[in-house]
Amino acid sequence: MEISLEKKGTCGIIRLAGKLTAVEAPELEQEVRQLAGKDGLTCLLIDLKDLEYISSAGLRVFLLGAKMMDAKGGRVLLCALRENVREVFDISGFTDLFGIYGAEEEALASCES
Amino acid sequence: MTLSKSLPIELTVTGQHEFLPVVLCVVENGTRALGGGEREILRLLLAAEEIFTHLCGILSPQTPVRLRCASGMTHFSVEMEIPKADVDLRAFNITATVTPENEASLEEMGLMIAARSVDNLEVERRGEAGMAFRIVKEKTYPPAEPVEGLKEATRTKDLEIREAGPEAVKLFIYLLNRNYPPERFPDELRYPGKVVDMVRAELAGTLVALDKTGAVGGGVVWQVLSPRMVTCMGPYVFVKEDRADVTRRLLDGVIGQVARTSALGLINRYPPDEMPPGYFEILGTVRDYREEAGGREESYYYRLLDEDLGSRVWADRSVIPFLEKTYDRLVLPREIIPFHNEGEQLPRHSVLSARYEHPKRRVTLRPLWPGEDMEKNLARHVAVFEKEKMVNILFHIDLGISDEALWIPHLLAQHFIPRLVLPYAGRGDILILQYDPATA
Repeated sequence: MEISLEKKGTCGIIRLAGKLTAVEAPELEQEVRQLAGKDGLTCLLIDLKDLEYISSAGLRVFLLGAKMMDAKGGRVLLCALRENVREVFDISGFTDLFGIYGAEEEALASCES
Repeated sequence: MTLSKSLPIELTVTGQHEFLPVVLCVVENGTRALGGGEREILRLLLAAEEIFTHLCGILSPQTPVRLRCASGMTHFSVEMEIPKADVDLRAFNITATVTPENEASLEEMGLMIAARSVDNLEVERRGEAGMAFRIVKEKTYPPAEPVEGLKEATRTKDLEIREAGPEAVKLFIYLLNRNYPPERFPDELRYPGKVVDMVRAELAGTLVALDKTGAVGGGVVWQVLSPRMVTCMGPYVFVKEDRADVTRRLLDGVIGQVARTSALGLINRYPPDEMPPGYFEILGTVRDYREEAGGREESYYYRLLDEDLGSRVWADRSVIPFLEKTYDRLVLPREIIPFHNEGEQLPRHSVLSARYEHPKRRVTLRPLWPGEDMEKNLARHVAVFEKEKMVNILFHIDLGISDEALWIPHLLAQHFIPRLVLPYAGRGDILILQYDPATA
């Protein structure tokens, strides 16, 4: 899996590509902890356009990010979920826990508003 | 390239997280090599990852996990076999939910995802020494589309009953979907390609009534239910005249075909418009509680094709009078062994699998694992189905598996009533119970 990071204003962006299994989840967890822990960050945007696969290990990392951001009054947004990734969110009941957007620009606009 | 369906791909690893990439690699590439498409691969990969990860958390590090990927022509499967272990399978129930604030429920999220990402999940005891998880993903087929200009046969006298080749199977399935409502046939018959694959894999057979131009006037499908039992659907007849005669000729054909196999009998759950007299006897009925059905009784039909030398069945004492009466009526020689819990310890949580048939608002429950909470678990399932407006709730008990008898007193307490027995439809006979909302 590839992880790329970017910071735009008060929004931290994580772009994921490939497969997020329990093997890759610890590496992502480390990045999420670091980014979500940064001062002045009010929004964590995770772009899943190129993410082909996610398991419960990945969902738990997103949940960790949501809890960290929530603790400091911020939020986590997800965007561009592929159908099979969206299905995993639906099955687990996680869909309602995050703001989910179609494209990164749309999510970013919401982040900045 | 598609390899032979008879060659499973096997791997044995120990139950350690370090082997997860190896397991995922075998499931992904193995299923692909067996002909799986991306959708089937991703769903199996997900379920396999979740189950293997869960097992790694509870097994000692040197415990072997045997993995087997296989293709069944219309489906792909992954099996994980382990020595007997104390695995809490509660999350496999369709009633399981995840609460993000609750760490214990998050621990179970993986198994819940595994159970819901595949079409079928079985948990099986392998003797005293082991257990196996088997996950199945059905191949994705396009449903039958309306075909413009396709005509049914009209001249009944010209019709010839034949085994159907792939083209005739497809024409028959198109016409079936056009002429009959979806509750008159099982979901499999919505997909022409699937029926073709089932016939090729010898999991099913089809006879069609063809006229001299190749137009289809009707057909019948049969499917292997167990090594000793075959089920048939139909006949479905599309001609306007002499329908009873076409029905009879198709039934004679299917009986002749099945009689050549090792099957002892033929069960019909989807009978023709009019069942000709003398062909089948009625096994029993289930009630259709849909409003539009008005409580209509649906019959299951049966025809014995070979001598039934008898077998042993396990049952709770409470249903033995029902079974004795049923077996006497059908003249089926059975030794009924009473079986109940005699204080032996059960797992804390029981597990059920649920199969939905939406056109009939029907759900069929099968026991995967007994447990101390069987009655409460049943009540939870019924509550979920009632919320989903699934008004026809059936429960199948395999009387050839002694443990399944443990569910019977809890089913009766939860307002399920025994309706009928399907001879040899599982490892032994299948007892069908139905939830009766009137007594609840």
